[in-house]
Amino acid sequence: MRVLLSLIFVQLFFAAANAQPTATMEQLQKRFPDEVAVVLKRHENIDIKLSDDKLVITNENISQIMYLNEKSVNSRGENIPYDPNFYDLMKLKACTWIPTPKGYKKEEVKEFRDIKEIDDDNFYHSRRSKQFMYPAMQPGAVSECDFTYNIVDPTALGSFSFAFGVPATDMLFTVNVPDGVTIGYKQFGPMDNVKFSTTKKGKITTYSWSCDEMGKFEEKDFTWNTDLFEPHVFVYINTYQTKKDGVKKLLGDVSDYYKNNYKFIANVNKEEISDELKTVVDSIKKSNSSEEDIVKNIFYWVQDHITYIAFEDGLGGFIPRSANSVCTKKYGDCKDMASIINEMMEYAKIPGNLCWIGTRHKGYNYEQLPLPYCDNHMIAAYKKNGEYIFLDATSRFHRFGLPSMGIQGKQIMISIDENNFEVPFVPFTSAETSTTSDTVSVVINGSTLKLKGSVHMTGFAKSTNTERIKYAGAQNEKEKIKGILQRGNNKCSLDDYVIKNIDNKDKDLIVDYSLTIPDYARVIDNEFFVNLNFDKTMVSMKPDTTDRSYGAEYPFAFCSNVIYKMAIPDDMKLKKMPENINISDEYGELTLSYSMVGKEIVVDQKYKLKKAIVPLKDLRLWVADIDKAAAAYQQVVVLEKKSSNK
Amino acid sequence: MNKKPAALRVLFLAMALSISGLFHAQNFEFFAADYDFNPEALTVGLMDSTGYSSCLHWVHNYHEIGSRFGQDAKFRLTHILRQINDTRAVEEFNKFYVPLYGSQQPINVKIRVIKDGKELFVGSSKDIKEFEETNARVKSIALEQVSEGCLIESILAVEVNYNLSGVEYLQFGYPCKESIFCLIAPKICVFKSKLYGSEMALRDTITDDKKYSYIKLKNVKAAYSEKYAQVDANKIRFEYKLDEVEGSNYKGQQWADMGRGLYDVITKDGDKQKSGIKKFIKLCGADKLTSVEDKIFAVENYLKTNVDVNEGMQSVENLYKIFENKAANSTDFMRIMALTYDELGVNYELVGTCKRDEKNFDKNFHAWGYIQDIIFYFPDQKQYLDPVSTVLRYPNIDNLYLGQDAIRVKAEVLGGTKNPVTTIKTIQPDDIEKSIIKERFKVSFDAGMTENQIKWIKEYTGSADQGMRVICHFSEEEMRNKTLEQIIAGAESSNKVENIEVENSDLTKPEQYHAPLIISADVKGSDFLEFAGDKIIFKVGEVIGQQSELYTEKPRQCAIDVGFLHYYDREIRIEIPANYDVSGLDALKINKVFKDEQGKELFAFESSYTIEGNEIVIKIRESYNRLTYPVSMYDNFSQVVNAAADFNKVSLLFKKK
Repeated sequence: MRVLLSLIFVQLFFAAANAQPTATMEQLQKRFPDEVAVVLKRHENIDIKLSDDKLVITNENISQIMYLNEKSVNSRGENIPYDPNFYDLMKLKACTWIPTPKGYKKEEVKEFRDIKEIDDDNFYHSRRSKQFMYPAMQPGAVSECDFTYNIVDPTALGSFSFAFGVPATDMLFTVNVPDGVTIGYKQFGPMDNVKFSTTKKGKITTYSWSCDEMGKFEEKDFTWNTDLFEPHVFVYINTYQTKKDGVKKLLGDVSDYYKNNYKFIANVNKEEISDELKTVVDSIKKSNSSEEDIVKNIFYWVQDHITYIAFEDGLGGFIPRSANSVCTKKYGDCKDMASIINEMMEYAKIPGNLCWIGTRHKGYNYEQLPLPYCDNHMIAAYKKNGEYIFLDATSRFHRFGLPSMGIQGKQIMISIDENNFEVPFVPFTSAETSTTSDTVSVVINGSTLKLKGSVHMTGFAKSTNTERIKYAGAQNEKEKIKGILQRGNNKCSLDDYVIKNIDNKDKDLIVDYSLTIPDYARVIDNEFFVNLNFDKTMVSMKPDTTDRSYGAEYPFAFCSNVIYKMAIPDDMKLKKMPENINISDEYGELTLSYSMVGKEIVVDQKYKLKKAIVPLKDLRLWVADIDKAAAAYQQVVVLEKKSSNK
Repeated sequence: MNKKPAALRVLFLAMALSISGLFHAQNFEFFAADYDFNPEALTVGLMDSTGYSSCLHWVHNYHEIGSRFGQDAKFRLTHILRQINDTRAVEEFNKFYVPLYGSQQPINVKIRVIKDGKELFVGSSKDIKEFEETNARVKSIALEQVSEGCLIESILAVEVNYNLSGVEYLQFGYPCKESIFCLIAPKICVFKSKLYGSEMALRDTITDDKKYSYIKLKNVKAAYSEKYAQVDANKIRFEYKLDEVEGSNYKGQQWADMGRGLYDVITKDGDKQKSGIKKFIKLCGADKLTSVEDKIFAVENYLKTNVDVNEGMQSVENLYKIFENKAANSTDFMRIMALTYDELGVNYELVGTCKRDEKNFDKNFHAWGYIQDIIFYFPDQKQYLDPVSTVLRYPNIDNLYLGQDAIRVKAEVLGGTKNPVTTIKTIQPDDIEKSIIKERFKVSFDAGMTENQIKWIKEYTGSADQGMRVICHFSEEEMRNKTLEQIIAGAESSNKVENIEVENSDLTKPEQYHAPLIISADVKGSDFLEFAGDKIIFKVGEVIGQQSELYTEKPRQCAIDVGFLHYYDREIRIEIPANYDVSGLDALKINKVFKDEQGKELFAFESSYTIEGNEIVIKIRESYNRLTYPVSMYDNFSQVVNAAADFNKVSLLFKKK
């Protein structure tokens, strides 16, 4: 589904103003030591007018960036995006202010190329951009960009951000609203440095947000989005007065936004379902009796037969294509897949729903931001016993009943009919949903270990690894499996493997395997030191806590239960086993249990990530526990040659 | 792809046009435009291609030299029947892209999806979507009904830049049942050609006024990626060039002709540019320098630091204008460099060659296809300069030129005028002593033996420093340190890296650029330790960082290529803590040295240790004395590479006395 470009966020590293800059490089270097560049000025003005009952909206941008050293001037190119269907570019001027002993000299950009680039996510779209190079860039030079959009879609006014990857000064966001138009706004992130005011002059009310200076904003590891932590503001048109129809409501609360969305699906799948789709659904119904099984198999058919290719040209980015068309082409994007699932369910006489949702790459929920910037995805849903089952076929390999990984924890807008909808939250899956379990026999021969196991994966552990294997292709399959199973060191070889159930979404993914790890046991003076903690997942989840202002977010909660059974060779005896360990907090748990069972050393390793999100307040505790786990992983088993007298 | 510098593109065009008149009398059939689907595609059964996500039933490539709209033209037609075997192939091939570079025009685009003998989808003009990227226009079609087990047949004919030489690859990343190359030209044309990587002979068929010269390969194996290899250069390919036109005086170009062409483009208008060149000499400060090497560096450095190479820039009449634009195309960039060296009296030669990862320069096949790039050679200094690489300075050039043959063009003055003289020379790689990675690690432990500290120092010289110097010079300090932290500590390490210091990283300062790049840091943590009661295992092998390994299962296809001659000189000093005994030292002794029949070392990994007071001193030498080695040496080579990886696994045991 189309991702609406938040007009502000596309302007992170360019800028402009009509007057020459007043600051010098030396002044800014002193003020912002160690910075490569500074946003000197960023002004944006949205001007709303009512003309013949229609809203006429322009968005003027002026910005300037000063480059403070040689390294920063490499980024001399610029792209100004636009889409004639939504935010058409009306004016574009750019220049470089070149420092001279007498002040700044202006050099205009003369050449602009109009391009339409291939987008990795969308096969086709209607976005274009103007591309240009700033001339004569050098340390101390200031790039300036001045452009104006005509906002074609009054529901998408965009947002203004006060946070950039470099420090910023002199930021001003104004919205001029005429009498007869009311607007609303939503603020996010720390806005303490931002002054807000409204003034009225004649029939125009001006809303104004300004900020003299803002430090740079950095994104940290284990982050899906930073929307709630970056200072920014969205504005939207609430109502406007028309001569013909009186006051018209546009956006404001969740109901308004639902109405806005519903118009995109109101006329979808009005034609009769095609014979081809009927045949598919009839065949599914024939081999499945329960309603749930029919839905499941409809979902699986779409996952298996419709590949993801997105067309987002104009309203095609919002309106799902007909199920018949998707079936004929055998491709579609998220909303097309939702459309075909819903239509197949309808033909099977099973109620289904079309839904909108913002993936975890967006931080807002509908109550916080009932605007088109809140969501970027469509799926279908099926209600069973009062609980929704979410059907996201863009996630090709996950099983029926699980929400896809990217929508966990997010609020979803479920369409019931023209006037009714629900906005529940998609739950996070439990740790027990996504498990990896294995019992591994270990044979030691000198410094070489031979491992034989059968790893069982469920939930997201299964779907993520299935995806890795499937997308590797036949020629890379063994290498990929080796990557998944590799343990010990880079000499580890995958001797043999059998994959089971990779195409059966309802069963565990099983990989039977044998590995050889040469030079793994450390053999010193008749003693064999073997670290059986091959999997140190918890350590790899340690977040960087330096200057961090938000928590850590992992893809999903999971459990790993692996038992290693190492037979002690006849000519050896156990000399030392590490102590058992249990580390547990609200977010994770690690248990390492060592025991002797007959002639085998048994190491039972259990790890559980209980929650996918660790909030900032508990990050210190979390990191401390990860450090404890790292120390526990360093404990080794010691075997000794029996002939030795030591 | 149009990778050549603007200078070469201009030259190609000039050369091609010079013979265009010869063909005007001919009336060619327009083969590429009429070419259609092969009816046999509907009857083709599925190939067994176990182990590959797709395979190719046929790849037929045609280069047609003909005419269009009364003008000489050249067409490239590619006809492919691809079998889709798995999910990856469905996702990879369900979209069809046609990139068009420069003035290229599509003249025939057809694509269809076939399954079980039925045509499920045929692309039509309404399906074509268009993009305009920075360097190319792209036409694309989303293919309907693509699924596992289907066939995709595509035909793409494009009018390409008109020149009378060419290259086509006949081997791919997937197995191919039938790979054909066919050159279609007027029968009066006599082409010289060569097939690389296969012994198959070229066959000619003459019909009416056309000659079809073709080569057919059956069951071509997939070319797969390998470490220490130039896979593309190793693929089967066909090169051709027009050598003669019957009934005319036309003779195909020889290296000398190409050398003259290069020289003329780079040095033209020397007199007209003189005043601008003189201004530039003052601007870059070369007028105040006495040493030739300093002058070479100053000119190059000023240009690379102040002028951006951008092929989108128009050539300028007055070369000095590029300093106002702060940007120039590569031809103007090289012209001002060459003319400035002329004005300064610096003796230089122009070198034309290609990079080793694309193909090995064949000195016996005189064709423009081997002259992809221009570099400078200074005979008095016996050094090279890479004129448009912003990350390199004199005397370093891209390692991929090393070992290549090349045309070398020098100006000889005869009767008061300069005449270019072309010879073929090899770009000799630097001696191994010039590219050294010197590593010093001083290890100590805390009192409780729970952590180790390492004073970490690395020095890079010559070709060995290229990658690291780029990181250190171009990144901001904060970003640089983050990158270095990861390099020093290793992936997924929890060791802390502190006090990072970098010396001589500034490539714009000759005194730094010509000195070893030195990076030092303090590394602290317990990642290299494991514990067994009161015994501590110190994973000393991991101190040197994870080493490459070569444990491959597929048969080796390509010759070994180590990038550049180099050696590692490593020393690890470990302070033995008081009250501790150390054991396991014997494992530190590794000796893998291989020599040629004359006793000259080929490659080696040697490590040994001594005890000096309370220190264990480990010395490691790892060397690669040649640029390339034949496949026959692969087993021995992998033993040396793996010896370094084996060292990674060595541990020492510390036990309380």
